[in-house]
Amino acid sequence: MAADPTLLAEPRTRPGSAESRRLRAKGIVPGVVYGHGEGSVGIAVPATELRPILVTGHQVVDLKLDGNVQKSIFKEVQYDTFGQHILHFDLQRVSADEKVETDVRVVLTGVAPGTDQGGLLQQGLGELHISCSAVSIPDRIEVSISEMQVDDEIRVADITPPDGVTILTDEHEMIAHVVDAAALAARQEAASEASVVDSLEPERVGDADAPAAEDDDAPAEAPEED
Amino acid sequence: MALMPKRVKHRKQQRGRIKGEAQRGNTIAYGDFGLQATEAGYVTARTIEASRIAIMQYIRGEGKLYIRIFPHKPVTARPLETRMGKGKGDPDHWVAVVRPGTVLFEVLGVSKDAAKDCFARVAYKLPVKVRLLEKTPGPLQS
Repeated sequence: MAADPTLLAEPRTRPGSAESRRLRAKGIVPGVVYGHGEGSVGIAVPATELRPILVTGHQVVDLKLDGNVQKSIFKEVQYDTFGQHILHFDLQRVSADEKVETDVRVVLTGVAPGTDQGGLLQQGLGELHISCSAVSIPDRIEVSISEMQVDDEIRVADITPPDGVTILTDEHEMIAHVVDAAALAARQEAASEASVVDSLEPERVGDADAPAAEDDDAPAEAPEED
Repeated sequence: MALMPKRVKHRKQQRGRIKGEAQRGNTIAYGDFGLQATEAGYVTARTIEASRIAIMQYIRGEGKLYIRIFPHKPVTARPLETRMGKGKGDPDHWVAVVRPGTVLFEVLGVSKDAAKDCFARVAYKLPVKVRLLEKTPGPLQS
């Protein structure tokens, strides 16, 4: 784990969405820092400084605000629809020995031999929910897939977490699975054929109780002759 | 006819307006590469089926396809050479409402070049502009 990066922030004097929009137009991301019994403070950081920190997966930063340095953890980061611009971020003040819960990326390392034997590597979870001290949050958790054959899978229970880290995600969740591509394609084809319907009109909710309401425009049935 | 709902509450719907951007279904969830709409529109069930066939011909036995949209909305039409009036037409086809940012298709287990070629073929069929989306480790998209 690398040293925590420093994030130089300016306090925001004018709150509100309109002011936030103006900041974003200038390439500055509005955010907020809170926690440890102190009040929440609106801050602003240039996107060019914030973006590299988030891309590298750092969770904890040394927040430099008004001359003070305070360790803080990212609690939430909001992105635009296309995931290209950061709209807002939340930071929570933490102390070095404090236990925190956070999400950490799962990175698959190596090449699964099963993929050369007609297998297809599926990754289930992209992140793991962990608990550890604020100073020992790993940037990523690496999972080796170099021994995975066809039909092998790795679940959360199979991962050995780094020292001091507790994994909180359900141990039955799938991390990686090498599926048989041929069998999968056959299943997919069968499923798509089964989904093809000839009729245009689906069943209507409540039709089982009132079948006469099937078609509003259909002529009424002629009464049976006695 | 390809995809359509099994059961509906009402057989006809009003057209409505496609407002805003996709607030969900806008990131890659299952595959390695995705095709993301950059404008709003309706994608018909027939187009989804045609796209599925085009993708499957390309990646058959090699990768996996995920279709992330479903045609929930019925579109009505009037029969040819009929006079106006006499109420709304009958359901004609089904469409998926697509907002900018919606991920339409995803593929798994193919190279980037293959995904590019494959989605380029599909892009011709689609009524909305699209772009290739690549899975990234973090939330920031490429």
